[in-house]
Amino acid sequence: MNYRLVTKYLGHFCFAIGLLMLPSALWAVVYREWGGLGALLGSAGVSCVTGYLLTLAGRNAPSEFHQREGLGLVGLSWILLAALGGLPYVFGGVFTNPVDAYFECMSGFTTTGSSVMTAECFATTPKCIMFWRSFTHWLGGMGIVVLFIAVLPYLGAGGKQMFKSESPGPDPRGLKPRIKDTASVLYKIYFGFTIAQTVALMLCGMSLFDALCHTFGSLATGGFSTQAASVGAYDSVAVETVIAFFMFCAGSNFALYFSLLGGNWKAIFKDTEWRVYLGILVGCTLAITVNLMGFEGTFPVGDSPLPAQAKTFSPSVGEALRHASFNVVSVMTTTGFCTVDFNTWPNFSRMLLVVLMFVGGCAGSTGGGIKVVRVVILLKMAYARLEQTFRPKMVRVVRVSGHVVDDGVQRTVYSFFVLYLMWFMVGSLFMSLLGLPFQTAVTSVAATLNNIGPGLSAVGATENFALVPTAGKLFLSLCMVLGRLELFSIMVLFVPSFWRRA
Amino acid sequence: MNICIAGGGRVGFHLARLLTIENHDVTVIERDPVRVEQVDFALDVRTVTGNASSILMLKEAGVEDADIFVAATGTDEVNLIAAATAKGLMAKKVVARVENPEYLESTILFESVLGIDYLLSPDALTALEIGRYVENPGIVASETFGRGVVQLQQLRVTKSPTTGGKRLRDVAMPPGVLLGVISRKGATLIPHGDSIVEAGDLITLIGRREQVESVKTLFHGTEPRLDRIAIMGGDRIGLHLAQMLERGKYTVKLLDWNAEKCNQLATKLNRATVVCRNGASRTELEDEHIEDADVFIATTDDDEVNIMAGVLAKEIGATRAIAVVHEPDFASLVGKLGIDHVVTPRASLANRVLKLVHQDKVQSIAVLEEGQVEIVEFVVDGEAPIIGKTLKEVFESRRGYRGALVGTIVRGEEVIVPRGDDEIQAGDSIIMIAAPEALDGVLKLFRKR
Repeated sequence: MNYRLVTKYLGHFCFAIGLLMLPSALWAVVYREWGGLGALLGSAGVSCVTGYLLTLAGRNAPSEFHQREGLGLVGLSWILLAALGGLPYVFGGVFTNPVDAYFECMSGFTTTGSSVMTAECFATTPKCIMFWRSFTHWLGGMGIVVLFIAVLPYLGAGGKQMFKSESPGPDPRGLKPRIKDTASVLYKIYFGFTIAQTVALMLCGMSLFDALCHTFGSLATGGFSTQAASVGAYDSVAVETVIAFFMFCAGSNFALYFSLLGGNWKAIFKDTEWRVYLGILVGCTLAITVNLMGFEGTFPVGDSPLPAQAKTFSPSVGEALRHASFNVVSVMTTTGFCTVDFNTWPNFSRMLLVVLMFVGGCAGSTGGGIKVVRVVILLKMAYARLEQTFRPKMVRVVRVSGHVVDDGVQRTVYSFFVLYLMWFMVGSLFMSLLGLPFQTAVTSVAATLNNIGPGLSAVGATENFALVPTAGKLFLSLCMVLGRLELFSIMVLFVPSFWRRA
Repeated sequence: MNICIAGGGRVGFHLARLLTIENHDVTVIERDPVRVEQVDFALDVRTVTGNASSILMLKEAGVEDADIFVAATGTDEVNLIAAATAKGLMAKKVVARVENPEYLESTILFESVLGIDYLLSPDALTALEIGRYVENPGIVASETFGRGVVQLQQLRVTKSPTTGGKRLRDVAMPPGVLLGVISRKGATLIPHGDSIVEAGDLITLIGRREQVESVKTLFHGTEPRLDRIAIMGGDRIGLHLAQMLERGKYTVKLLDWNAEKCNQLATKLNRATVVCRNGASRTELEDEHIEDADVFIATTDDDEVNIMAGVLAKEIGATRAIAVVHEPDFASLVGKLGIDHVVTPRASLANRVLKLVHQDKVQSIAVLEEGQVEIVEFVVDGEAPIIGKTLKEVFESRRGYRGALVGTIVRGEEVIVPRGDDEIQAGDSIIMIAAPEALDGVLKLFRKR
C-alpha cells in the first residue's frame, strides 16, 4: 500500500470538498443568513486546511498507484469527506451531537436521505445549510470520486480502478477510451438533467431554491426535501409527476442516455435490465393501487407531518394511482421522497415496498439497492440450477441483453448477494440489541443499506432517525456507505492483509 | 488523437502504453479475456473483447472515428483483414503488422487494393535496426533533421572526457553540438553543466553533422569496421538481416540447427554461408571459429537462448555480441551480462507507429529508450506565444515544461545550440528533446493560440 500517495490524494479531495461548499455560501448571502455563512465558510476553511496538511504529509510520494490504492482511496475518502461535510451542521448549530452531523452528511453523500432533522429543525435551520444538505446528494449521486476523476488530470489508469469501485453495477465499463472522458460525459448528462428538472419544477411554481434542492434530491435518488412533510407538502400533481419522472430517469442506467445521445434509440428498449425495471415499476404500482382502493386509512397532508392534521379518506382510483405510482418510483429508485405516510398503508403494500427497497435501481444509475441487473442474473442462475437438478447434462449460459454473463461476474454477483443479506441480518440484530422494536430495527437497516431514506414504523415516512441511539446512528452511517459503494470498497478496509505491504 | 489498436499482446500493449502517456484516446480490441483484464487494469484505455477481424467488433470499438487504426495481433491474416475492414469503415490511417515476408513483398496488393496505408513488420524493422548498428558500430540510433543539416546520434560511451571526475562544463565541446540525453541503467536524464558522463552510458548528441562526428571521438574510441558477421537463428529476423548484410561487403555466416531450414535458407541467400550448427553449444561455436567473428548476433525467437548464446560467444572470443530480446523486462539486464547491444522488436514497431501518430503535428520524430524520450522537429508558427521571449523566461515559468529542452534551432543556414538568453523567431525550425508527457503542453508554445 502506497500510504503517502493515498494521503496526498485524500488531501486533494478534502481541499476540493472545501471549495464545493462555497456555492452554498452564496445562498447565505442571498438570504442574509450571516450565521449560516460563517458556518459554511468555517467548514470550507477547515476542509481546505485539512486538505493542505494531508497533501503536505504526502508530498514526494512514489507514483505507484494500483488497484489496492484505488480501493483504499475510495473507501477512506467517503468516510473522511462525510466528516468534513458534516461540519456546517455542527458550526451552524443544527445539531449538538457531532454524530448527528456525520449521519446527516453521510446520508447526503450516499444519497440515502435518512434524516435526523426533526420538524422543528426544518423551521430553524438556515436555508444555506439546507442547500448544502441537498447539494451533498447531488455530489454523491454520480459519485464524488467520479467528479474528481473528471476534473483532476493525473489519475490515469488508477482513476479507472476508482471509477469501477464507485460506479454501481456488477461490471462497470467505460463509455469513452479515457476514464476522464467517461466521467465528464456522465457528469454532462447529469448536469443536463439537473437543468431540465429545475426548469420543470419552477414552471410548476416552485422557487429556484426549492426547485434546485428537490432536483438534487431526485436526480441523485437521495430524498432530502426542504419540507418536513417531503414532497407531500406541495400537494400538487404537477410537482409529483415531474419529480417521479426524473426519479425514474435517475434510476436508469446513464450509459443508456449516452447511447441515446449517439442516436441509438433502440438501445434502451433492447436493454433487458431497463425493461425489467420498467416492468417492476408498472406491476407494483398497479398492485398497490388495487390494494389501496379498498382501504380506508389516514393520509397526513399539508405542511405538517403530525397525525393530528391527517385527513381520513377512502381514495378514489385516481388518488390511489397517484400515491401508489409516486411512492413505488420513489422507493424502487431508492430516493425516499414521500407524498403520504405509507406506514399507514395495508400490510401487503408495505411489504411490497420493503421488497422493492432491496431491488433498487439499475446498474450505472444513481440509485442504490442490489440493482435490477443483479436480481435478473441471480434469478437466471437459480433457474438454470433448478433445471439442472433434473437434466444434469444440460449446459446453459446466463445472458443479459444478449450478452453472456461469464462465470467470474456470476460468482461476484452471488457473493455480493450473500454478503448483502449478511449485512442486513447482522445490522438488524445490532439495531434490536440497541432496543429498537422489530419493524423499526429491520427497516432502519433496509432503508440505509439500500440508500432509500425512510423505513417503516418509528423511522417511517413522517418520522426521522433522531430517536436512534448514537451507536445506532454510527452503525447506520456505515450501512449507508456500504450500500452506496456496494460493500467491497468499504469491507476491504477491515481486512488486515489489505493494509500490509506486499 | 483517437487511436484504435487491434491486439493487446506484447506489441499492442506497449504501443497502447506509449500512446496513453501522450494523452491519446486509445481503444484496444483483444480476443483473450485474460489479456483484456490485464490491459484494462494497467492502462487508461477502453477495451473491447472480441476478434478484431469481425466488423461488429470494429464498429463497437468505434473504428469509424479513429484517426489511426493499428492491427497488431500475432496473426498476419487477421491483421490484414482487420486493417482493410477498418479502412472500409473510414478509419483515417490504417496500419497492419505483417510478419510473413511473402506478404511484405506484394505491397501493391495491400496498399492499392485493400487500402492499407502501412504494412509494418517488427522483424524487418528489428533487422534494419541491427543492420544500422553493424554499419555504424557504437552508434545506437542515428537520425537527421533540418533537411540533413542537423544530425542526432545516440552512442554508447566507451571512453569519456569526464570520467576523471571532470564535469561537463569543463569539457571543451564545440559550440554547435549539444549533449541532449544521458541514459544510465534504464533511467533517462537531461544533463547540465555539472553532470558527469560515465563509460557505459548511452548518450545522445545533436548538432551540425560534421561537428557531431568530431565530438563523437571525445566519448568513443575509433571503431574498427565490423566485417565478419555470425548470425545465429535462421528465423525471419536472421534471414532479413543476412539478406541485408550480404548486399553490403560483409562476410556473413548464418547458423541454424535445423538442417531442413538451412536448405531453404541457402536457396534464399546468395553470398552468405549457411551452416547447420547449434549456436547455443560451446563446442559447435568453437568449431565454427566464432572467436574470429567481429560480431555475433543472436536472433532466434527464444530470449533465453539469445542471451545465453550471446554471453557464450563473447566468452569464446567474439568481439561483440548483439541479442534480440522480445521480453522488454529482460532488455536492461542483458547489458550487465556483457552483451554489447540489445534490440527489442516490439519497441521497433511502436516507435515506427509513434512517428506516424506525430506526422500531422511535427515534421519528423525520433523515439529513444522505449519511448522515454522523444525528439521532434517542427517550424515555429508566426503567431506563437513564445516569440520574443527568452528560453529561460518561458521554461522556468512552469513546472510542466521541465521535461523539455530546445536542442537545436535551424535558422536559415545557421545551426544554433541555444542558451537560456536566446530568443525564438518565427520560421525557426526547432529540434526539441522532450519527455512524452511534456510534449503536448510545450508544443502549444510554438503554435498559434
